[in-house]
Amino acid sequence: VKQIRTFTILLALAAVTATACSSTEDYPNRIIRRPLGLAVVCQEAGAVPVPLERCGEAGVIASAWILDGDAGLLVMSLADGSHFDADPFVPGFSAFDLGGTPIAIRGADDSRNVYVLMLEDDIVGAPSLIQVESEDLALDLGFQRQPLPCRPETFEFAALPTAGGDPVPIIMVAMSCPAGSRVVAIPRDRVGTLSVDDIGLFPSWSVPGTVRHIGVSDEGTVVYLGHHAPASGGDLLTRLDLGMLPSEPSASITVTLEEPGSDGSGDSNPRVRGAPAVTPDGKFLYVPRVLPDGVAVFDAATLDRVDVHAPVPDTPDPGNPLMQRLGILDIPMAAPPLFIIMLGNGEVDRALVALESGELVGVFTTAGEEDPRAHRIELLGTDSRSVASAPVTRVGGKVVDRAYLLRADLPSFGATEISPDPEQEGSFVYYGIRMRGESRTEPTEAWTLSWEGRIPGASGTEGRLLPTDDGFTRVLEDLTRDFCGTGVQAGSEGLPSDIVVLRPDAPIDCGELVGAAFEYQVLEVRPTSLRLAPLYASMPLPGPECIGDDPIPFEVRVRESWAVTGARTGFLHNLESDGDTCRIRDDADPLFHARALTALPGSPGQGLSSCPVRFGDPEIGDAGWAAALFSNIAFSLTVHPGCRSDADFLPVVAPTVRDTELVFQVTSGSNPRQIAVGGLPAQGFVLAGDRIVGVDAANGLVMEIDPEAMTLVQSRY
Amino acid sequence: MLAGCANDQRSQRPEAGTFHYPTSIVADPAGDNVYVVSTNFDSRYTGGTVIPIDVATATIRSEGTVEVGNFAGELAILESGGRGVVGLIPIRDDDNLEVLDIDRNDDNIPILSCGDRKADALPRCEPARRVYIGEMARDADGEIIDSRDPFAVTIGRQFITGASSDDPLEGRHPFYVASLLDGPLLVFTIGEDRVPRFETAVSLSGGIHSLIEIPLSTRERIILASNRMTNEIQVARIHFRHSGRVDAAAELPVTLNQLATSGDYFRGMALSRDGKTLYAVYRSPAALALFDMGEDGRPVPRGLVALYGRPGTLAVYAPPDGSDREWVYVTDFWGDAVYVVDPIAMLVVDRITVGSGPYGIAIAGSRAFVTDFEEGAVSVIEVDPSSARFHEEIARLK
Repeated sequence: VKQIRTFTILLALAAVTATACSSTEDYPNRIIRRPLGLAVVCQEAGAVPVPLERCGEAGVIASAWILDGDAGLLVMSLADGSHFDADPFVPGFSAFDLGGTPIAIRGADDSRNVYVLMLEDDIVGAPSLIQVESEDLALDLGFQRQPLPCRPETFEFAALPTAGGDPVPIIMVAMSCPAGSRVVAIPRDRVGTLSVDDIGLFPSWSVPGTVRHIGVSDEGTVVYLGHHAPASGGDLLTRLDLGMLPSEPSASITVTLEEPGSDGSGDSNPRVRGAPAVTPDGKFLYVPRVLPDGVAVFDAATLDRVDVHAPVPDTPDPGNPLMQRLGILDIPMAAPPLFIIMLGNGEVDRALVALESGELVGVFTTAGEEDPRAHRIELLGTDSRSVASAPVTRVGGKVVDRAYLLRADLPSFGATEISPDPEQEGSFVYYGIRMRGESRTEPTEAWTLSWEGRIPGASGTEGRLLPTDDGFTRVLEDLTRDFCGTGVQAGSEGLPSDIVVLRPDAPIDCGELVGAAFEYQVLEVRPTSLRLAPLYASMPLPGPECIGDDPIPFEVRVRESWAVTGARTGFLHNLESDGDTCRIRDDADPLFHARALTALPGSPGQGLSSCPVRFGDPEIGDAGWAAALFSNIAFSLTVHPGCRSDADFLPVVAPTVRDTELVFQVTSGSNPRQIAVGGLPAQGFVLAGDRIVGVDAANGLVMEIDPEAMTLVQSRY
Repeated sequence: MLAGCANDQRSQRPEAGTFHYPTSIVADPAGDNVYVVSTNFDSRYTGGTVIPIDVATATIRSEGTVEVGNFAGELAILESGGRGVVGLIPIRDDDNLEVLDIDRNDDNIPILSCGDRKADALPRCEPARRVYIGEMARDADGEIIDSRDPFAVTIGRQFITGASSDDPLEGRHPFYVASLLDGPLLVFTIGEDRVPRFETAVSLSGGIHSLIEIPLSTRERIILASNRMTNEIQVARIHFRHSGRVDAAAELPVTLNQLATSGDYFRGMALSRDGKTLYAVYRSPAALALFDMGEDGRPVPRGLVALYGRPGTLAVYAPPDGSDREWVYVTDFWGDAVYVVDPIAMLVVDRITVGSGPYGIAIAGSRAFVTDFEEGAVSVIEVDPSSARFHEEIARLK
């Protein structure tokens, strides 16, 4: 029988044209519909399987076995892109019908077998693991179907150490059983020969929650499980040492992926998106996770979390203070990471992180000669500078076209063009915005300056006004807010105190208080309350006779200044709650700052020298300009006031309307070295020889990538 | 020759028990019936229909059918006493909102009407039950906001303020209608008199397909609007004040990474049972988009589950076994199938073949009902995991 089956993949692929009317030309239309992943098989003459590392050698032909969730198993020659047609009598290309619901595919490193995990196998009437011998392509593949006792989740190749002998090649299959989650080690050479009961005889490990992902060390004897257990802390990571009995305490280590400072209550939604991957040196474990999107790094032996932005000991590298401030420990990614491919060439160890947005992003997993920091994104160059776009001005919610150029009556950053920076050689000032020059702390994002704008997260609808002993002030309490944590302040260092705008549901007509909105200054800030005082004698704080007992909607705004907010960075400040009070954070830094002033003449009503306002206008004065210089961790700028002519045709400041916005985009100079591989890459790109082979779900393209050059060598339907 | 030139479009009344280009389908809150909206897409009849189907027996209840306008949008059902009592349906053909009464006969069959119902004829909406909404809204300058082509509709949580009875909102429901053409979101309330009261409007981008209300508090609501023409889930904040005044403001939309440029983006949406996840059908590429819901009512993208074809709408099913499992059923218009997605595993766990051109889907009891637009049918799928016919099409109603 075996001899009969030695129709080889080579012969089969050669016969494609004759038997299935196929063409060796690239197909113009999509063939792969819903790819779930692929395996690569490499064979030399006589259909002899060879290890994947030999795939690029002369005389070796590679084929991709693509698991299509809608169609079945498709086989494609990577030599010429031709597809094998499993049913030449049906128009178009037919896949091998697997008969059920496939969820994952893996190919053995020796190219002998391809395995498909079936959530439901119609042939055996149960979940299964299908083993396909790569030599059997030309026949009606004699799939060997191994029934499984429980719902399978994922699987991976590993090796079970034996006393005195070579490790036994196994397949670790994670399953969700009525009694809980189990990971079972099934010997590879027994797949397809076992009964469901037989599987219970092999070593297995019980873990909490549901195992979603499996990673394996290079030698295969240490397994890492990514599992989700909402009742036990959310996302968990477990290290299994297969060389030890499951009953031994040190055989496994489990840690949570919860962020430091979280309440530990877990999360109903898993945040790990792909399998843990061990770095080529075996020292670290990379875990793709989302919200925030990034790669979490762990010590592979202890599973201690690594803060990749911390200062590097014994070096001048201070780390990334912005990431530390934002509480981000991981390697940040621009989109959800799906899986990781490790690459070690003996000189430089790298990882390629596949993003849902369709990029493979390079990461150095070890420190380099010039950079002492490991776990850092590869950059296209080290001399790239961040840039800023022209500001967009919005007044009353409407965009004012090119206001920085055409509308002197509106505030701006004082420049209409990009000009060389006289203070930093080789740098530029973008429409008045000067980047600080440290691209690591200049993330790509949109920044908004909002005049007397709301402080993000501080406004609410459940405010209650409480009396105070002095009878003059009142306390606004909202137990759902954290006023310290959002950065509300009572005024400091030349900045006026913030204001609260009360907006009762119904207009008030109560003594001196008539209207729909009432403003007060913040005298004191506590975690869930603000002590308010009148801004004007004519507007006292309302008593219960005016507003009743209903909760009051309120806004908290900066006063006579601009709220500077980054889309991801947020409203930077140095306050935090400490029991019943606010305190300055231990890592306070003046560059974590979000209130900008407008450069104004020394006294109200004082005129200007020119209109538009030019930088250095003496009517504003050196002190005025200096006071208005805004600097944060990413950039500096000075807001110039709008101006107009008064009745005597002399230039004066034009007042700014509240909520006027100046919006610009920063594009970070940290340009990752990456390659576009379509959209939504399917799990499991495979390193075969010196190429990476993968498939994307957005376009249904099989791609070959040169990971060293970071180029797309080939893409085919 | 004369016959060849004759035009009999919109000359015949629709048939009470026949689906004709059905799109939207909604379950009665009682769970015993679903309502199928036929659009009369080819203008063969004088109008479309809304036809009840009995869930338990999977039979068409043609005696309950009502004729509605042409090219109807989504249907929303107002609940009272545990069952649907009013249907609100926007009509794209004439930019009306039709208000349907849902009564039950002695056999507990839903009887839809839209004004007086004569025993021997298929009822249709009388003018008094149709509200022209195409030019109802005004902007701050008093200019008309073009609200033609209404499509999306949803009913929000009832106002139970506990305030005095003179609160103008007490006991009323908010409901929202949005346009496919220019994208204004119209905010209405409706009370026991079943007469919609227009409150306010806010301009969003054209292409609104589906709406979801997220109540932040009794008076503050977030509206999420999926957009089929731009890569956005649009966000509007609605504030219903004590005084009766309603404020509405658009906020920054939520976008996904641009993976393809099909010009065709979001379609149907639904919330998970616990309200923590938003599911949205996406077409660039074909996928189910998952979002974590923030406390501020804004969705945060979590990831995409790849699908294929032209996914349309979705429904969420959680088996009544006390577990926290749920599945998302997504129609594929191209593939004549329904994908079943496990949202925690982010994995397609089944694909069920149905009739031609499936678009709308509703789940009632342990059955999913799918409108087959091209075939003029409704496919019935068993979704109870303990059933011997689990995930099979058990009937195709025509």
